[in-house]
Amino acid sequence: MRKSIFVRVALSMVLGVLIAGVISEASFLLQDNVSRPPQEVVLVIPNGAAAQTALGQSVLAQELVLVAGDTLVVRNEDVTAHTLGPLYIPPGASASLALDQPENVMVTCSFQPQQTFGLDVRESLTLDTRIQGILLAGVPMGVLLALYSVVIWPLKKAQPA
Amino acid sequence: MERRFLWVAMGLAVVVVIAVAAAALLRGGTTVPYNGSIIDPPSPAADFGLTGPGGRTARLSDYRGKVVLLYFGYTNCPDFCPNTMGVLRKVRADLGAQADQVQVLLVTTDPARDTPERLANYLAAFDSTFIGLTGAEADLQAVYAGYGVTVMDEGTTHSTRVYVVDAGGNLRLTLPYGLTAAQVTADLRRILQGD
Repeated sequence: MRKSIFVRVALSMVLGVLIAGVISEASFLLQDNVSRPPQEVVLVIPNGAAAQTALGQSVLAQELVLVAGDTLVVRNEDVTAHTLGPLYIPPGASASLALDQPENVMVTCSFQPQQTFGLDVRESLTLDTRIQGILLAGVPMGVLLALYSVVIWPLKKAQPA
Repeated sequence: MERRFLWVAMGLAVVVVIAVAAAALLRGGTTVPYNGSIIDPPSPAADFGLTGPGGRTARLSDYRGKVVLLYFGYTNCPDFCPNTMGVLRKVRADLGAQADQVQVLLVTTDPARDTPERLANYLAAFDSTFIGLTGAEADLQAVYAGYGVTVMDEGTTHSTRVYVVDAGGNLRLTLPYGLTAAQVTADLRRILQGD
């Protein structure tokens, strides 16, 4: 009796985690997420950026994709100071910006002809997070499956010898 | 038998909880970053001279030996400027005895309306030690350029960061708009301690 309960619960748990895993990973693949842990991302403003910007030429990409928790370090290798959103970066120095929240914003900057730069901060979905999500969904689903199985296939009482 | 199993399960659960807590503590045990944006390496702050209280010329270098909080704004500002001045007032109050080592300077972005007297009256409402600076348009434009300050729409649109200049005259930190007084105070304490 005890063994059959254990087998039924174990099978239900495995099934629950499998179903949650398939649904979770499918939705992860369908969404445009970035799968890496937060890290330090360095943006280098090259020498001559101000001069080229004044000529209407773009020296850097117009947008950067980051994940929540990243620290954006902007290193200014130009001969003049530059700004990016709240950052002021003197020549030869670097300044950093902590990006805690997912958001897609345009900030003012001095190194683009349009004077704007896009910061696309996305949710950080690491393998750890995905596994946690699968377990959080899969274990309760397994419990429900186990209970449901009792309704569909009631446990048989052991016959006295 | 069942009771023994329960005790073993509870023991395992406690071990798991302790392991998770220890891992979280170890992961978070790194150096606490500044709340503002640190400038690395510190860069000499561009010196300037503008008209201060009583029409006297005040230079940034006059405040060498103190940590200067430099802000660009105007007295008719409905939001960013009074909010920032309010935060800086609280910061000075929270710094206690160390407040004497901190000087707040507001450079106007609206020189047409912000006379030295008007700036003085406006800032006195926040803290009597705050100093307002104005000047000729050309002089102000040079100061804005030296700090990468954007000023548009006759001064009513402007950058909102606070520049932190250390006692040696070096630009150490910029504080984005929106930091709390506690966050700014924590950063300033570190700079005042020579961190």
